[in-house]
Amino acid sequence: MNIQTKMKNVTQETDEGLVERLGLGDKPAFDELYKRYNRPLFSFFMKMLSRDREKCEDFLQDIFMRLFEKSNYFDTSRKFKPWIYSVAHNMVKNEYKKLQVRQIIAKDADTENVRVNGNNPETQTQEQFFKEKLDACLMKIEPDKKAAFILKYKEGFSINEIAEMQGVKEGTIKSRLFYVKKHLSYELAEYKPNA
Amino acid sequence: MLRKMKDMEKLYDLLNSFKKGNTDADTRKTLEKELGNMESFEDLDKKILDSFTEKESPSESVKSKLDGAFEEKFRANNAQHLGIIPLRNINSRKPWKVFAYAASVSLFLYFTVQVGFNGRYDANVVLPLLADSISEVTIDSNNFSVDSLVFPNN
Repeated sequence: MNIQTKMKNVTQETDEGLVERLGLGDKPAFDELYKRYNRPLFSFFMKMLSRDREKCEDFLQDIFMRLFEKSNYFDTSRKFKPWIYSVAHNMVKNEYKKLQVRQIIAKDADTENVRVNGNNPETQTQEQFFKEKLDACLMKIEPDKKAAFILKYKEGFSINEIAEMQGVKEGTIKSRLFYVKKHLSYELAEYKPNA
Repeated sequence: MLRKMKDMEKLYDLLNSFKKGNTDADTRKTLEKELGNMESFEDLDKKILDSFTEKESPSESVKSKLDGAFEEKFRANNAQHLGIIPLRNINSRKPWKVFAYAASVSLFLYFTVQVGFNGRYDANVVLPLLADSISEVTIDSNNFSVDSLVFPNN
């Protein structure tokens, strides 16, 4: 089998198949998994960890290291995507516990607000303001609620999948999602077109 | 607290049914009370989702570090690729594979260390990897003696 055929097979392979091959030390399988998941996972960490780029890169590195260290433990009858996000969610949760970043985040959010308000409006578009304000609002929300919201609206997971990842009932996820929506709708009221 | 959560759960379902087109007066009234003007909120909702479509990418150094770690990990496990099966993996293999493995190990030992017994208590042992020759080895129940050992000069 030549390299090109092998590479082609890798791109057609399912995530679960790639993890199985990864366990055998298949480098193209690892490259393909990295290609599929590095940006979404990095983006998830950025949203969850107050946009600390360096820390998020460390987390990304760590999660992929765990992936090839423990790939033999992955149950291939399970879906890979919810599994890897549940690992990411647990890493973030542990980080919150370990460093008690809630206080830091609250400080960061205040700084962010000052930065948003202090910038020259002419140099920034309305969308940029909105994004920064949204990030600042998300930083103030509890990690489980924030994770549920990001996993649902950014990553497109179902309520059932998020409930499984977070180890709670579906109703709890629904209430968390509604809480975040309600919170954001008040916090971002100034951006409503008809407001 | 539990009641509040149940209420929110109901409101979440109501919001979803509103999005699917169930815009009757009661639904609208309830949601407006909770979320403000619903039409504006829907625009805001879209705006939030649009802002999520932007995806940041990590620096190239992350991938190169991972490549290094991958290389290291699988170089360390290279023994597997040389045909040496770690003992912890043996029990997960099929019986005929275990038999073939045991046979190959036996053959390896047979050709590397040859042991011949001359009598009940005597044995001539030839250890080709250690010495060129051992002229005579005698083992009995009380003593063990080796007449001479010839080691290579190099």
